[in-house]
Formats: sequence, structure tokens, C-alpha cells
Amino acid sequence: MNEQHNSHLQSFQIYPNKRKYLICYQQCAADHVMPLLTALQQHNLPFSSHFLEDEISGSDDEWLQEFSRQKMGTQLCLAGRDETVARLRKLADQSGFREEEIQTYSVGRRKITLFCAACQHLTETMQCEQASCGFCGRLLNVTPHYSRRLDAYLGYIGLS
Amino acid sequence: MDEISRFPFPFTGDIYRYSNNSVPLNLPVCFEITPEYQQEIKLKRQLLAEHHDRCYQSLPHTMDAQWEIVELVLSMMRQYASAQFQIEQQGDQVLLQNLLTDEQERFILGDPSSLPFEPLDFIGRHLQEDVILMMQKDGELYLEAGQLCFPANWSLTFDLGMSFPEIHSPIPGFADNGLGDRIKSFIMRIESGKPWIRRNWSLTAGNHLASPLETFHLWGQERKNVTRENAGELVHLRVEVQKLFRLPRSNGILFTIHTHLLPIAELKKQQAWLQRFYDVLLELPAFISDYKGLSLFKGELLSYLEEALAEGSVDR
Repeated sequence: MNEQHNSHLQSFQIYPNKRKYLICYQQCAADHVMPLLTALQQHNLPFSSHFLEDEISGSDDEWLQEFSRQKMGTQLCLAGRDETVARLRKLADQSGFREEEIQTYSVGRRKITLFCAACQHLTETMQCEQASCGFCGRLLNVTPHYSRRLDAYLGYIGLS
Repeated sequence: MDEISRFPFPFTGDIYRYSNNSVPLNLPVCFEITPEYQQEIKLKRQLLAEHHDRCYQSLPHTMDAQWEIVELVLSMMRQYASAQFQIEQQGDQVLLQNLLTDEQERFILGDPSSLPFEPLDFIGRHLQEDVILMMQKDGELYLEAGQLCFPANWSLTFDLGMSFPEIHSPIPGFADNGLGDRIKSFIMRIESGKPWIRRNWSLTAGNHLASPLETFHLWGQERKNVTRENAGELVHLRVEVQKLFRLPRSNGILFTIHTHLLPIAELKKQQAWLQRFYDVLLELPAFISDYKGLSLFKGELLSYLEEALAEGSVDR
């Protein structure tokens, strides 16, 4: 996918004024996380990290507790398989993390929900550049614009 | 007054960039009544009848803020538009007479069962403006209710519940250099009784007041039909006069949008505006042209404007 993937592929940003960095990552994204860990050490910035086994990544309750006990000003960096990142991100949202306090890096295509701009119905699809609306059948361009309320990306109809 | 004299020309310089161009609103009224009132109210109500989900959305906990908007609009009607709206009020019992539509509306403030629609949906039907409610909490602004009949290519259904940064994330460059944060911070500091106004603009092919994302595949097609010959009549300068009011009880923000359209050919009646518009367009970076939807016909439009400017200089 175009911009949506690009946003996930960017390097993790470091903001000097953060109280702490909490990094949760899987092996498949380790290469992407290492520069962040190195940079945090070099700048002597506080962080803690969780390495997640690919299949065992804790229960939702455990993650909610872990996220909820973080203090204000914690920057959360999630990296791994798309499903894992999406799941942890949702739990972080529920724990009170704000949009700008979460950075993500996802590996692999995942299932997303697409909002059809024309008929407003939601369709589940694998992440891609274009997909058909499951209701009206129109071909939709998948955009990075995301609604947390709908848990869906905006799909609009290009000019033919 | 003719169309061009009333038109809120948006450009104050020869270069346009995204900015917080809000200025204090001297007359604290969130609506304006223009000669197009009857026609636009008719169109608005038709759209609401035929596409209600597209044109009206609200989250359940917004009722108090919606009533606050109704009371604010009534007070403005009473104070600034008594020739068009007459309001009698005894306690919570209200009689609103719209003299422009010849309607009488009786309702009880705070009692949703006394209205045929939700309060914001009700009062918006008497205004040409789109009306949006943003709520402020936890250091963020959220779009939580709106009546939006004349959008410039966005979807209220999709954007409902989004934070200010989420709503604006598709705008290229909006977050650069902290602009988005500064604008949000500005809105969050707006005080009760000190409203603000700004003008926003885009270009559209065709005379479509309603250009929702939901029907882009229909109205957007006209962009492909623009030629140097027809650009003056087909392309319209679309200006949104946007006003921002603090709602002191709910701490929300009332955001109203009055949309004006002008065929580009009309600018020939104001040579200085024609020149300025041409200068802005010529210099406009591609990322703004793309977002404002004019890249497809920018070349044709510039050719048209060059010809129009040449004609103007000969006439003088």
C-alpha cells in the first residue's frame, strides 16, 4: 500500500522531552527497533523494552495493566506483525495513550476494514491499494485516513 | 448589491500557504443571510430528507451542547436578525417564527421530544451555514456532532468522533512546523463572547454547493471537462466563511461554515482580484493544488486567466 505503508516504515522518532520510551517488539521487526534502542542509549534517554515471542504475547488484561501503569509523558513504540501491533495499539488506546504518544512499525499485510465513501458501508479486506466495496461493488482507493470510531480506513472512488 | 460585491474574496496576498488566518469577528453572529437564503434552505432540507445520515451525525452525549447552540443561535436571531426571525419566549417555551420561510416552530428548551429532530439538526435547518460541534476534553478537540450539507469533499460520517489532528491528517503539509498544533491550540484558547472568523478556499468544476466525498465520482468528473474556453463559466471559486464560537456551558466549540461560490468569469469585474487570483494560482505549490483538487485543470485555468487579464488591460 502506498502512504499507509510509508507511515509505518518511517523510523521511530525520538522526542527529547519524553519521560520514558516503552518499546514492545517482535523478532520480525527487530532490525527496525535496534537503531532506536541504540539512539536512546547514546542520548542517555530512559526506556524499557519488551521482546515478544511471536506466538506468546501476554493476555489483554496483562497488557492493559502494563500500559495503564505508565506515567504521563511515556512514548510507546510498537513493532512487529501487523496483527500484534494492531492489538497492542488498541489496548494502548483503551489505557489512555493518545494518538501522538504511540508510534508503530508493522510487518506484513493485514486485514483492514474499509469505509466506502460512496455508500458508507464497511468491508473487510487485506491491506492493498485498491479494493472493491462489498456492498455497492465500486472500486475504492485505500487511503491512510483512519477512523478509530469505525476502526476503518477511508476508501474513495477515483475519477474513472 | 451584485454577486461580486458581496463575495468574500479570500486572498490577502499574492502567495497562499496554509496558515491560521483567523481574525476576531466583530459582529458576534454565527450566521449570515444572503439573497440565496430561500434557495439554499430548500436545497439543504432536500439533502437532509434524502441523505440524512450523510448530512447529519451526532454522538449521544452531545445533547446538552446542542441545546446550548440552539439557545445561542436564538439569542443572535433576537439581537441581530429580528427582521427575519421573531422569537417569543416564556420560561422554556419558545415560539420561533421564521419570516423568510413563513414557518412557526414551537418547542421547549431542553426537551428533545418537543422537536422533530435533534436540536442541532433542527436549528441548522434555519441557517444557510453548515453547523459543527466540537467538544474539548483532555487537551484535544473532537468532532462530535454536525449538520453538513455543503461539504468541500469530506465525509461527516467518516470524520465523526475524530480528534482535530485526525480530521486534518489527509492535508499535506498541515502538520509541518507544528502548524496543526498551533491552530488546535488557538481554537482551544477561544473564549466565550470572543468569536473568530476565517476564510478558506478551493476551486470546483461546476456550480455544486454540495460536493460531499460520497458523490465525488459524480461531481468530480467535471474537472476533466475544463478547457481554456469554458473555464470562466465552469470553474468556481469556492470560499468558506468559517466562524468559531466558544460554548461556555459545555466548553465546546460551535463551528459554522457559510459556503459561497463564484464563477471565475465574475472576477473580470474586479481586475485587481483577477490579477491576484492569477498570481496566487501561478505560484501555488503542487501539494496544495493537488489537495484543493485543481491540478487537473490548473493549466487550462491559467490560460483562461492570462487571456482575461490581457483583455482587461486592453479595455482600460
